[in-house]
Amino acid sequence: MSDEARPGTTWALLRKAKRSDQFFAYVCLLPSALLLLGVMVFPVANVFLMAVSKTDPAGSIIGFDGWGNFRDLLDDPAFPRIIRQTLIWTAFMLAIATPISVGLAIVVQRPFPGRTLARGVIFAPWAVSFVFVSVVWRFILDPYYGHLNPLLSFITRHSVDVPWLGRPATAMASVIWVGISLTIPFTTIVTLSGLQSISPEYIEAAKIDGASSVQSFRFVTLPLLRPVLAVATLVNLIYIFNSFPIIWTMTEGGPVNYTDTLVTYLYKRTFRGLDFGEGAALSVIGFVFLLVSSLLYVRSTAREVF
Amino acid sequence: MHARLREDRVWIMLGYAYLLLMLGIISFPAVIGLITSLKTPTEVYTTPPTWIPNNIRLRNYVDMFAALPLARAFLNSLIVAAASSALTLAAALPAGYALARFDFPGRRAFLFFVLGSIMFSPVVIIVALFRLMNTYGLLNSYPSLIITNATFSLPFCIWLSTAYIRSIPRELDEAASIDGAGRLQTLWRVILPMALPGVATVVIFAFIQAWNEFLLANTFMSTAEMKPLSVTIYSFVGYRGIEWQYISGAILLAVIPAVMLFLLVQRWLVQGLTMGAVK
Repeated sequence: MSDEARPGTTWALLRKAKRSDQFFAYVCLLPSALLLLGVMVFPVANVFLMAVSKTDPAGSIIGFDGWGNFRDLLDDPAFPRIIRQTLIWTAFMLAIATPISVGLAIVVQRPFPGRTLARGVIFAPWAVSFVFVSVVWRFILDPYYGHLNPLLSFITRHSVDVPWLGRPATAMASVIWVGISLTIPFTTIVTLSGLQSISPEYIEAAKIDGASSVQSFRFVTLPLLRPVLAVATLVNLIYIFNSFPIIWTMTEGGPVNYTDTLVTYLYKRTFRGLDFGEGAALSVIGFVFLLVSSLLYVRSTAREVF
Repeated sequence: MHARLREDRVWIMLGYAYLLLMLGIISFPAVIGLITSLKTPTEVYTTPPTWIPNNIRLRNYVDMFAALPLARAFLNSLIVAAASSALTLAAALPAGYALARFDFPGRRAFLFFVLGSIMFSPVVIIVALFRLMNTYGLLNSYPSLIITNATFSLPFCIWLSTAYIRSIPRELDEAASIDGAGRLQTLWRVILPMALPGVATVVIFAFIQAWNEFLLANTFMSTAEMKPLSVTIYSFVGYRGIEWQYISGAILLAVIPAVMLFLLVQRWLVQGLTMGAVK
């Protein structure tokens, strides 16, 4: 073991071990780093560049603009509402989908007959491209051919004839509903994998000490689940905020721009308004928001991971 | 675990009720899709809609393969998704191990650098990505989609692997090295089996990401024989109108390979892999 008569050698050995550990770590990171650098660096740098440039309708940069694009955005009367809609979209989906998914994960964790089938059904919506699920829902919500209104009429014994995607409030609710239904499979399965790493001995011990199911969940399961749940929530935050296919396929941000989020709005500005600079500026704003949120979130949660 | 207490039994019943409710809600669109896929084109557009097709048209499922090169599209999707998830796993798992076990300069920076890459929606960078793939000479080829999809899956997979490996007791690593295992062997023989639920999730996530991906596939692939399922199915949204009966059926078929993979892999989502290992 450590040779106290010759501390110089031990220290040198430890330093060497640490350096070779670090070398190993860097090698482990190499494939990921190569992929990310090779694919993401150029496009991202391009976005930042365009955000501070004047662009022509073809997307080429024709001059430096400084904060011009950002000022144009602040002058845009729709801008504050777009921001609000984006926050509503993100907050509601996170707040509703997360508890539902955790509950589901707990239920399908223990073995019971039909568990595999249940897990398969939960998983299945995730196996469909969001574009298609949204297309199907658009059909279901259609006031003429769709099945939802007749179903609701049948259940409530009232004639339900709501133009779901035609009115701002119901359209927003509809896209959020579809978004939640598509967030649940992912979150449930990730939570399930997290639950599996919790040794049942901990819960047994709590029960032996007299804890009820609720208490053992709150004080044993939940804290141990936090690292994985934190990752899922963080990644959900980013994906939901940047989500495009669902809203675009269902409403294209409509009616007018009452279901537009930052991303759908920037798509319109870029490819319809042909203002690439403004679109890029919107992306930068979104990026900054997400970066700050992520840093704050990481700061305030699971120390175990970061 | 046996439910000895009455309280436990109440929770279990509530749990089943909750599960059934959620399963019903989740499968609602799929049921509608199934019904629609068996209708004739005119029946799809009736008001009010019929719940059971008047003439069950199984022929739709044959016709859709004649209408578009669906079989080839299936193959394309399979190749891209499988390769993509393999690549993601190969990159994310070692990265997660390194980030979970070692402390080194740039550790936190790397984690956020990785996360930062998904803070831009693909919509935002699609034009630049197209130009990039053109420069690489990879347009209309499998590698363009494989590399890009793997890259997009990396952030979540790296973070999940890191969190997961962190939850595996360090003592196992130490025990392995005392037994003479090198770092690579420790990763392969000790950590990997312990982290199977995490591995399962990574594989599923990366596969689905590539299987469903629409925007990149639509942009990079220009010939019909290279287009994957997501793009080909979307061709049923034609100028004349949306061929709902074909789309619904094709979507249901498209779900099958992914669900099969999931059923295979979900066996690893079992508890207690770390149980008793340190004793």
